[in-house]
Amino acid sequence: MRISVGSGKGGVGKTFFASSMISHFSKKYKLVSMDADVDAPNLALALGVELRNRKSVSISKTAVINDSCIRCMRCVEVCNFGAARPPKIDKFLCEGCGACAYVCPVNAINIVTRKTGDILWGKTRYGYVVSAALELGRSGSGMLVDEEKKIVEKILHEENEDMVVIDVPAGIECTTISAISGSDVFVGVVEPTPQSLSDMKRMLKIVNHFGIEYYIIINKFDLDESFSKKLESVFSGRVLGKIHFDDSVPFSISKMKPLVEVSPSAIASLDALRIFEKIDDIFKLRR
Amino acid sequence: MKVAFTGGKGGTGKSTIAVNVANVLSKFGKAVLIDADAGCPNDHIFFGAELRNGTPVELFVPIINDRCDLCEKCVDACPENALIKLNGKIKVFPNMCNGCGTCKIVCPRNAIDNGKKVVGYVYFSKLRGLNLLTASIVEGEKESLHAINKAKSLARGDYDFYIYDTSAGTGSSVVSVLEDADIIVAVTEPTPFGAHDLKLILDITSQLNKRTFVVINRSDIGDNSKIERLCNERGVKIISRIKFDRELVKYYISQKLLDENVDAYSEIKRIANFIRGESS
Repeated sequence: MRISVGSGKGGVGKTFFASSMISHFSKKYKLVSMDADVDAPNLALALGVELRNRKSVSISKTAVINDSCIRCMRCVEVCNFGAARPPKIDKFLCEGCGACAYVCPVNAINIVTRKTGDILWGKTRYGYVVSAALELGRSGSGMLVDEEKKIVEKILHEENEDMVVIDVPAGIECTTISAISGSDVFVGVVEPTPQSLSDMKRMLKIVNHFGIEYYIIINKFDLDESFSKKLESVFSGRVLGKIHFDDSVPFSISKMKPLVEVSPSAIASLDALRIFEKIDDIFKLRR
Repeated sequence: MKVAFTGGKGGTGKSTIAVNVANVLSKFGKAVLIDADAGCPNDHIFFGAELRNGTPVELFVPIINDRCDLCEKCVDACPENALIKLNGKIKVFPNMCNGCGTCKIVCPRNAIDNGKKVVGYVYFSKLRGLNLLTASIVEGEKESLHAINKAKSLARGDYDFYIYDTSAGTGSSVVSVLEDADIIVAVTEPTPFGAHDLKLILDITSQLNKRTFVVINRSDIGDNSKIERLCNERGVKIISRIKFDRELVKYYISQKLLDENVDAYSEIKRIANFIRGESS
């Protein structure tokens, strides 16, 4: 079973929840965890693990302008990404589509392949962990997530693992879409704020588009109990549980270990464990 | 003066600080706030504003006309595999198309017409002395860039202050905003994640050669030394530290802008004053 954990909005407690969930289930099942936040990967940090295998991925393309450029500006007219700035190409904005190379009258533009990022993975005390780091400011993050998923599938195939946990990045753009597609279950983490609710509604449009079964966790629910009540009615029938606001969460983050290990008797740990039991039931049913 | 609030990690307080600083700056000049988190735009929620009457963000998609002789040059040239030959026709998959227009350029028979699809909207809201432009993508679209560019183009005017609020991450849509800014304020938190992601942002801003400053939010919930060391190494100034305050959460939830009744407001004013100082 592939479970993705996402929120739309950043900083609502997604990585705290995912890392504790990984710690919990790795004792019971053979687990593969994947950090799909290739822009700013944090899962290995949250688990305090080192990943020893590295594979460089070069599937991004970019235009390069050579000395024969006559500054005719034809490339500027056709570039829909605002990247053509002869005699240079903005390396952050270029998508490598090649439109400029086709219109250049003096063949001054070549399309070259460049590095997209690195995939890092390894066997850890939590089972297999797969992560990836996008080259700074590069486009093609969705493609890098797809490459990560290939590594996950290879591990699943070779090692016969039971469960995959995917930490989905903030936002709803290409990385998120690639991260959640193919999931069996989506667990959405919300906090009792209108911002978090708005972002989760947008996220669920994508989850529903893929027809993925989803559940909701209300984190830090006691920050505003009346707004949490509202969340429970908006997501009626889908709420797996609520987690208290707890100072031991930032403490566990500073220790770079999952909360359920650092402070197993903390109130947020106990809340989370109750939710994991329910996820376990869903897992057993679907297995 | 264009200032961009960013940070790498999500949930560090970028939007809270950008919105409230913009509110203070609007008392000193004409100000526009641009919500460039087009995937999950939230700035309007701080003002309790609804997003209405958006300007559509349109992108080219090919329409194949009768002149097509199935040479498949467009299929070969399409970088997104959005065109395929199927049942004796060229079929377009608009969801996969990134609007680059290469197909139209390579077609030897002028068999591709301009179609369009709406990939997002830009909303304009007039709020007490401050204008807000919100970029928002249609759910399911992969790219924020076009909606952000549209918002930028609509923000042209004689503003004294342009305040950008970026999304989390360090991707190309974030960079496209940072490129446009005169100064960058990175909002971080004293956790290993905050420090890790701040480093990525500082790598980008130094490549872009932009003046960059740091705000440490919830400065009392963790060890600041890692961030201080990083800023020291990079020669980046920490311009404000904001303490965690449950009172702030109440403002956030009740959609109220910060005021004199919370301690953090003095830090918001400090950041706004700093930006005013930089712009003169």
